[in-house]
Amino acid sequence: MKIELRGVLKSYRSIRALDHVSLEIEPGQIISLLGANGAGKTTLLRCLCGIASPEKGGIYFDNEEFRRARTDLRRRLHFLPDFPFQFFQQSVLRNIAIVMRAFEADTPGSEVKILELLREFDLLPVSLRPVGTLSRGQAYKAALVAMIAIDRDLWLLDEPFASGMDPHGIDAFKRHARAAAARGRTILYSTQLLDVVERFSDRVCVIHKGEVRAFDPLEQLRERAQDKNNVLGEMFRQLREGGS
Amino acid sequence: MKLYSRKWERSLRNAVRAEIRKSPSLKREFQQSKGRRKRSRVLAIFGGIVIPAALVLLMEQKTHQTAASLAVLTVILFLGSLLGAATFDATLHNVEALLPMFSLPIEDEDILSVYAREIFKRHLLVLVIVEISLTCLAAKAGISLEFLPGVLLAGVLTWLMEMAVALHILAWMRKPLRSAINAAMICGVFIAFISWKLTGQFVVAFFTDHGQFINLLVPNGWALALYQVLLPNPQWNLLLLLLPIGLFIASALYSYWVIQRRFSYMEVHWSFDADVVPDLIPVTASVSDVVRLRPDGKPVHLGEHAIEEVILARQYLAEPAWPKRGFMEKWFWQWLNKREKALVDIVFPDGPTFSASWLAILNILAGTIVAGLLVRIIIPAAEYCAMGIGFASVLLFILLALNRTGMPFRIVNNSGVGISVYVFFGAGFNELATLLLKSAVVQMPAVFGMTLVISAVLVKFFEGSAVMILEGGIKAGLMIFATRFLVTIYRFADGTREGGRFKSGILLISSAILLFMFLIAGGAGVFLPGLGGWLLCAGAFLDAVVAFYFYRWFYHMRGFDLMRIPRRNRLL
Repeated sequence: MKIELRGVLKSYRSIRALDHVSLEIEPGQIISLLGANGAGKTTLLRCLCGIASPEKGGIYFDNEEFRRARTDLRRRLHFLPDFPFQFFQQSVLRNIAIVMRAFEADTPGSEVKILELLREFDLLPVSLRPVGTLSRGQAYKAALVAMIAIDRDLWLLDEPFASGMDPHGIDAFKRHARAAAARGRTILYSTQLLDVVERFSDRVCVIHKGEVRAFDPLEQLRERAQDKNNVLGEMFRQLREGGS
Repeated sequence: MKLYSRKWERSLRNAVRAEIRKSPSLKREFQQSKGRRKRSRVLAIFGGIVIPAALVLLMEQKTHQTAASLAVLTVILFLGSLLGAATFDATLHNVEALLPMFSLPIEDEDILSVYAREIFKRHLLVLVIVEISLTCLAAKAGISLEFLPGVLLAGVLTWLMEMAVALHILAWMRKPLRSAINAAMICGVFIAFISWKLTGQFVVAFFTDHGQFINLLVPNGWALALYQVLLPNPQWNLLLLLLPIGLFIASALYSYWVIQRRFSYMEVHWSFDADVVPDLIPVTASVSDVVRLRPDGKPVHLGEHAIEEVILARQYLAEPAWPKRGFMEKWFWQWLNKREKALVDIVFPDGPTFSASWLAILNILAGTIVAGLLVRIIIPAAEYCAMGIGFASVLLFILLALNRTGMPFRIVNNSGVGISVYVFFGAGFNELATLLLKSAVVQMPAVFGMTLVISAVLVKFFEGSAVMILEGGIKAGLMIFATRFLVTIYRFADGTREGGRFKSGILLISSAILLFMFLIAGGAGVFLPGLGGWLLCAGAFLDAVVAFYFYRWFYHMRGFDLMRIPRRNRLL
């Protein structure tokens, strides 16, 4: 799915969370969203999934304008916030069943895939427990299992590497995301971990005060940087000091 | 639209179980992580069915009038409609449940229909209650079996009306009014229960005289009134009620549409206000300049720079302004020690608002008395009812105002468990409890003022003496004050978990016994004149104090886990 943002503006009173953001994202990539706290990363993800609506500009999926009312387009993406939206009183399995139904992915035989994922993410023993009684990492994994199972065109994840998942869970997520990108899915995730970005992204999108300051493959950023061993660190320092 | 496929979920669950059975280690882990099963639900359903049926039969036995018994059921069902509307409303505003709903690709109207269906399923219990109550009444009245379908049909219509009333209430009645009527009715029932010896005959007489009137006045009673057609010597004109019943149920669909139209996704966000600098200060001035230049010592920025201003001007160290709100606030502030003055910011983040609350309650009390006098002139028969509901509301507001516990006991979800806010601030039981107790003491003059006025009005109704006014007012005030101890226990207990060898059930049973003793002794003591009444009140007061110290000892000795495990009892 080709994603386009054309002059997207989103503000919270006087604060411009997204300031005329324009991007073109080709499918089959893993994109890291980088930026200081409050830079606008989460707002961008929220606009892309329809939770927040841009005041100006538009978002287009395969040249079709995306609005919250377009349920058909919303079915082509899935958003996982840093604290996933879940039915805390319901069991892990019920939560997965709800997501599967909403995305019309609960086809006969899909249980086998879920079972494999539950096993892979060590969730089998807790799968009948209410999500509200799980640790943060386990709850995140439960939501991630549903996301991987429905396998939409666009995966949006807010801070998946600060979600409380254990190293095994993080490895499994990376593996699935990489495989999904190879199948033509787009994975857009935000993070603050520069070393993760360097190893786990095809392209880096740097946002600063609501503006996109870079949207390039890491190699290109490296070419422009003075300190080749600390490309992103140097970029952040410059942004903080008011450079571009 | 179905939120999930039961068949698919069952198939997945079976696959998971089969997988777990294969591995002993997984099986062990699964057994360890299994939560507790619900035990209280069956008991609640049983009580929900038996109590209304018992009340209806009791009224029949006392009055030998079907209309009076049906009127009791009408009142219960009206309360049920109010509670149903409140539950539906709470569900539609439950952010915790709505966020996942709105994040899924589902239409807003489908979300509403999912909730409506869940509420509908829950309301099947009301159908059971109505059918059992009516069947019991029919058996008692000796109605032959051939009329049983008629009885059941009246029950079904009553059930439909109950849901229709709930929908109309939710669509057209404002929330504060709805909540006030709800609370007043619950309070009224509670007061009637604890003072049954004194008020019982009035309640029975009221239902005897006005049973039919209540059934025709409250829509919940219309279909119930039809039941009387099945009795010997039927009033056939009651069949005319079928027309308004039909219209009422049909119009509920319109009310549902109104609710549906209001229910839509709304983007909510919190943000800083824009920085605002008045003209007299140059726009280019730095924050430290602004602090120096500002005329009245208050921040001139409204935005994020206001925080810098507050820090630079050391304003956070200044005494708060709230003690100037009234004499109760002033007294409270003067009474607090240094540590409590720091804690008060956690308990009342914007400062206590005792004076404003009591002024509002005073207005409600005055309104109740005026309304009571007006009702006395217009519908003398409903005088007791109006006063009862009014005073019950005032009492409820008094209890709420006195027992405010503020922010510290709000439960925050933290990695699968709920933790009270006070835990994060390192505040202890003793200091928080003392602070709350002091906040109650400073409000006591207002409490006594209110209870004395209520006592004076009630004593005037029952033609009692001035001593009775004084006694009733003081005893009621003391009992209200004693609830502070019990509410404090409850608030602490709500956020704790007993993890030791001692069974929490024992603590629960002891608390229930102490609470029951308090309610019975306190309730009876307030209404009973003479020494007996005083002794009962003293006993109830002592009961509350002992319960408090017992819990405090238990809290410190047992080393509770300061967290609670979420229960699985919500709708979604």
